[in-house]
Amino acid sequence: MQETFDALVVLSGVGIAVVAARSHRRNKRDAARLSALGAIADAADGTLSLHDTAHRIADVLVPALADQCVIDTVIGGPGLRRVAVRIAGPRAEPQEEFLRGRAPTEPTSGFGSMATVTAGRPQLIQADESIARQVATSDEDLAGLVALGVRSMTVVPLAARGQTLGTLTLVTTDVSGRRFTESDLGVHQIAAGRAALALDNAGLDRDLRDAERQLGVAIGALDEAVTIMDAGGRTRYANPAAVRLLGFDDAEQLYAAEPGELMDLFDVYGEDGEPLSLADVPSSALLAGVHDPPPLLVRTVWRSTGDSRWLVQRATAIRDERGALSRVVNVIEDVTVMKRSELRARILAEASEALASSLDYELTLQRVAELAVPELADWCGVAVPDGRGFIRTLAVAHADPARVEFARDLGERYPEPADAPMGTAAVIRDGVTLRMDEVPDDLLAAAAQDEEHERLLRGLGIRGGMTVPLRAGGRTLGALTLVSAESGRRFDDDDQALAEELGRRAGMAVQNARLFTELTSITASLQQGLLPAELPRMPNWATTAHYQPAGALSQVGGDFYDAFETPNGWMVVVGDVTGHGADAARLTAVARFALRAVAELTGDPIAAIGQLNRMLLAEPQLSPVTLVCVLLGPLADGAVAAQVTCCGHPRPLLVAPDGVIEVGEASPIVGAFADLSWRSSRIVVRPGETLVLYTDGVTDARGPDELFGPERLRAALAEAPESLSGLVDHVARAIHEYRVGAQSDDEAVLALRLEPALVPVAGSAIAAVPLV
Amino acid sequence: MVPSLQVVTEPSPEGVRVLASGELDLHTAGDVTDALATAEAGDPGAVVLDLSGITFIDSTGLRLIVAASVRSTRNGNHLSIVPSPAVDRVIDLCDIRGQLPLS
Repeated sequence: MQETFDALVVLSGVGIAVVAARSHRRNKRDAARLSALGAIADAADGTLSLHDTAHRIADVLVPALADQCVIDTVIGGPGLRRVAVRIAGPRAEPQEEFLRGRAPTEPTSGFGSMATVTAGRPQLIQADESIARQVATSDEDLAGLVALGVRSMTVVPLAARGQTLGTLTLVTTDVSGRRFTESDLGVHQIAAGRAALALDNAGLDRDLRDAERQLGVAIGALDEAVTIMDAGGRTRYANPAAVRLLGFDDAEQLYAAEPGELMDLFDVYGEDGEPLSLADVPSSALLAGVHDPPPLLVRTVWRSTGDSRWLVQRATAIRDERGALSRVVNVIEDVTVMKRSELRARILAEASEALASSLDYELTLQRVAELAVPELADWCGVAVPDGRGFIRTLAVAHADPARVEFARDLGERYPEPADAPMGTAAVIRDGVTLRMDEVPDDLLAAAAQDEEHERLLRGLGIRGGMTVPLRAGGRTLGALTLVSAESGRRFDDDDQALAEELGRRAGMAVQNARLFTELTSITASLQQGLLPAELPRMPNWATTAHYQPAGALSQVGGDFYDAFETPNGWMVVVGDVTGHGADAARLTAVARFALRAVAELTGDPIAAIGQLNRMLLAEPQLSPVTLVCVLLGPLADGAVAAQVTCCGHPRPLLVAPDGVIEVGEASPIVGAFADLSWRSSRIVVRPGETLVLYTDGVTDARGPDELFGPERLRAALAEAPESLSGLVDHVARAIHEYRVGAQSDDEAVLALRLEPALVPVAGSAIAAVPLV
Repeated sequence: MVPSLQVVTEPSPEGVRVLASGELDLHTAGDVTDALATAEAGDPGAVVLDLSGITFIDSTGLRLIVAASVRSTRNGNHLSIVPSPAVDRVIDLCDIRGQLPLS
């Protein structure tokens, strides 16, 4: 009995020991598995390549979870390829080599990684020779497979981000003698999940690095500056153009800078000249959450150098799969050259328009100076010699009107002498541009007339400037100065070219205005020369003329009048050549002298008019002339017979005690058609009666609703004062008072009054004086 | 503000008709001159200068009519002028009715 009991105790002891040993082994295995799963996560270090990551994972899994591990993946594709093989046990190396060289089993067999990938489901396979025979591709292959001593295997899909990346194959062999169970498959699935994430990251980083490298090559070569910022605003990448533009020596410096640091390097202004802040640029807007900020044109001034550039900034977002901002790509295009030339062209066009708009060149030059500021310069001034030994400022401009006041005051208190050795005076003298990119201190001191002056000059804040001559006709009439002050901008050669062109145009404008003024005074003299200042004294007749040309300034009138003696008596002419200016002046001369020449010889108005007609027809331009010609006969029987020839002209008026009547009859205009004939009519003028000749500027004077017209003229004549001069003045005043707006045509009124005879008083000793 | 002169050029069965209405004077004559020049350049059969709407005409306007008439005689174009009362007055004042192709 004791022996049996002892045997049982020994047996049970052995049993317990065996159970204990088994559970100990299982605990150890569980611990190893947990530790292995943890270790996979560690393998997911983004800096490792796909190959290294896969091997790390395989090292973790073998021999902790399996005797063999094979990882196939599509990452880095195309197709499924073997990326890691790890085998535990003797003959590991040759076997690893065999497996590595072996292509993944065709999916049609239903086994292996490709089948798993295709099905998307894990497989647990208890191996036997029949399976090996199914998948073997050759006898050699079969021998190799059999030599592996496979007992069981699991093939689990590797999936991450919703995509299958490959498979994880774990194998038990004769080395451990184990067979996998469903519980192992569960663990292997967990392992595969973690392994997939690790591999995904490895692939991702590699893809990204590849992509970055390719992109880097492409954008490295661009002229445009490109930078890539992360969501925190730090610059992660900058191409060489960006490094240059931002003024760094190399990209590393740029990457090291804090996001805010970069913006401190510049002052940024919008197209309208208003300052912009960091928040306004497109990249900042993107970082702040604005979705699609539009491109922005800005003027950027480098605080350190004062350099100013026009840049178009564009920012584009790169977002991750959740739509969160991952990167900001900035493209910065330097459009300075284009913008500057556009600006220069615009300034030149506007300046030309301003200069042409008026003859008042003080006004137009002020406008030009204002156009130049602030885009071309901080200050702009125009000065001319005043003819008394000093330089006078004609125009001053600055963006701040208070500073303009200051500058004008300065100019008035300390006028620059015309013989000063430098500055504006020198430019006017020599006609050569003076450009100073930096104004040295001692120069300012030398230019100042006293300490106070120097202090005020410094108050202008001049940093640099240029003075160009105002030139016209080979002479320098003045100077235009551009000054850089608070903006610190530098003038370049293109700026100088623009300033010189402005100087030329301004010079021409001043020249033209002066010539025009001269022309006006010449013209006025000419006018006087063309018309008799006073009518000659005609016996028996009192005469008065009123003549008022319409045109402003250089417009010589088209009206003319004349009175001269002929064999048949005095001839008086009033005429109108249509038009103004030099041509009209010439025609009036032609008309007067042609008529005079023939009439003085022949005493025949018709002949004179006929000759004038022929001469005018020979003119290159059509030159119709209207005129009234009155030939005054001798006093006979107490009256004068007059021959009136009226050619396309308002008929003369006779002012008599019983009223005002029209005399003469219509005859054709002169100088338009050949083969015409003119008719005269005979009238009688009694002593005291006044013959009035006038031009159509009188009756065509525009009033509020209608024209002055012949009725009003007759009325004015009827109610006029007694004296002849009074009569004409009255008419002139009536027209003037009636007229609305500017005078549009010349006015001429010629009044001839036959003087009353001296009548002897009956019985007086005074004898009648015969009137010759 | 209504312009003081309105000029319209339109095709007519015979050729071209230039209609001017309003005031024909120093300031506005240029528009009619231009319209006539364009019409004549197109080598039309006949040009009608319709001035029936002219309310005021001064020496510049008169000169325009005379010039057009002289031109048509020289070039052999067929011109006819339709006067208004204001135009008639001026033509009679200048006594050139017989010289102008009035219709």
